[in-house]
Amino acid sequence: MLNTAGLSLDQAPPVQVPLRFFLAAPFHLLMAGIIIALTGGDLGSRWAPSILASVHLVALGFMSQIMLGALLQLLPVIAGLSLRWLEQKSFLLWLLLNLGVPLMALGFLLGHFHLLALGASLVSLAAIPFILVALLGLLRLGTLSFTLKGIAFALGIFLLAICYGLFLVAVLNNWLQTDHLIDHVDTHATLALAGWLCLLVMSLALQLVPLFFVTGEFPGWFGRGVAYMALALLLLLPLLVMMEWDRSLALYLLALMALTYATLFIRQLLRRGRKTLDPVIFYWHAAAASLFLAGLSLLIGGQGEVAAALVLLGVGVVMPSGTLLKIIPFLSWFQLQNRQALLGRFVIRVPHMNSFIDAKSPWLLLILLILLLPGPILAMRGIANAGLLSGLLLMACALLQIRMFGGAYALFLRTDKKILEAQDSAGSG
Amino acid sequence: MERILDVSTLEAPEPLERILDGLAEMSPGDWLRVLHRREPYPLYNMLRNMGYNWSALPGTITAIEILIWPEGQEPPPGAELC
Repeated sequence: MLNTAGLSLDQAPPVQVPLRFFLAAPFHLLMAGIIIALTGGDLGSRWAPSILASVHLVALGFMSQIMLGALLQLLPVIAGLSLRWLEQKSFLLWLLLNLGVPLMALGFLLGHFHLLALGASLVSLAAIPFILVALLGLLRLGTLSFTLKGIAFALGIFLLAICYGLFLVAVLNNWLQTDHLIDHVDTHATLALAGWLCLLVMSLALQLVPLFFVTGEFPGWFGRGVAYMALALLLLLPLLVMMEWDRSLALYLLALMALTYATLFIRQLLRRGRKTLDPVIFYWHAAAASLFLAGLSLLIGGQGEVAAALVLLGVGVVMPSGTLLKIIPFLSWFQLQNRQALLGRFVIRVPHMNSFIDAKSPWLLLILLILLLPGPILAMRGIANAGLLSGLLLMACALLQIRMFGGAYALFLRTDKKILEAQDSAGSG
Repeated sequence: MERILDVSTLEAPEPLERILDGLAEMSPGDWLRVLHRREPYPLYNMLRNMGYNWSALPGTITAIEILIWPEGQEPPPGAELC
């Protein structure tokens, strides 16, 4: 159950701290879309430089950027964790991430592995201090809720995936050698997608779904077991690769976990008490369905590439895109309300949350994202123009997000200015 | 006069929004009785800053009822100052 007694919004950072990450994320999606559209035929091959570049733009520049911004906001609120050091350094971390990811993409595109190493180093300089500060803070708390345990494990796996990535960069630069490059790349990708992305999303959903949609709680047995099982399986994977043993069983068990979680997630969403039409719930349905299909494709067909594409786009793009539609208006509105509360009672009427983003755009974005989901799979099947269309769709999604999130931020700034002016005139009066 | 606001089935953060709207529409002498499914902790700091008193009590219809009234006004019947 959500422990509202543990909610301490006083600890939350100023809205600009997470918003900086949220507003930059769609630009990486746009870059990925442009690359995919220009190299349409490459989408069917995971090893094509343009796809390696695009995958990292989406996974790090979009998905991880949003997750890090969200954790900066969430950990102080749900764990009462003080992240002042990270808040103070958040601009630097943001800058390193937003310089590093495009440099990595350029390194992949040009086959210039020194550039890739530079980009990966900048990303690591942003992500590793973040992970260590957050992780140590969580460990110091002692007893953790299911959600916080899952977040801690996901952060730990993210660190492992980054270290794995740095090792692969070193191999590409011939600084280190390995005979099992493909196995290591697969493990790096599995850790990033199943460990960092899916475990984090699962843990957050345990808290956010009942809160946002009044659905009742997830079954206790799932909350208790999910984080430990995922962590054990994900730690087992690199060990199996190093020992040169078969990884199939661990992967099948991960696929089974994905199926179980996706089923429970959909059941939970269907239990929503209120029947008003909310586009965000359909984003979450689409994410859960993608995860279900990813698990199924891994379990039945052993199609790792299809599963990875479904998880990256379905969970890594659709889910954060939908969630930001709730989070950005809420954070903006909440900060404005707090500012105006300090002025006294209702000097300026703060716009309602639903006026920060227009009503139609979330539905349009949802349609574009759903059309995008089969793109990589069709390209893998050799369907002509699937790559070009996917690139164009990704660009359209990114541009729409830039317009929506930028518009919400502009309204925030306008209202904030009015409140400050009212404050000034009250002060001078 | 008592104004009753049932936010127990609303999805977060709509209850907070409705409660603030309800407060903005109160006339002098009014107080708000909010029917809620959980304690709205984020609201309390705002109420303090805006100059309202509140009292959270176990509810009869919903899990919790919160009475809110302006500072300097007589507490409503049954209110225990928080």
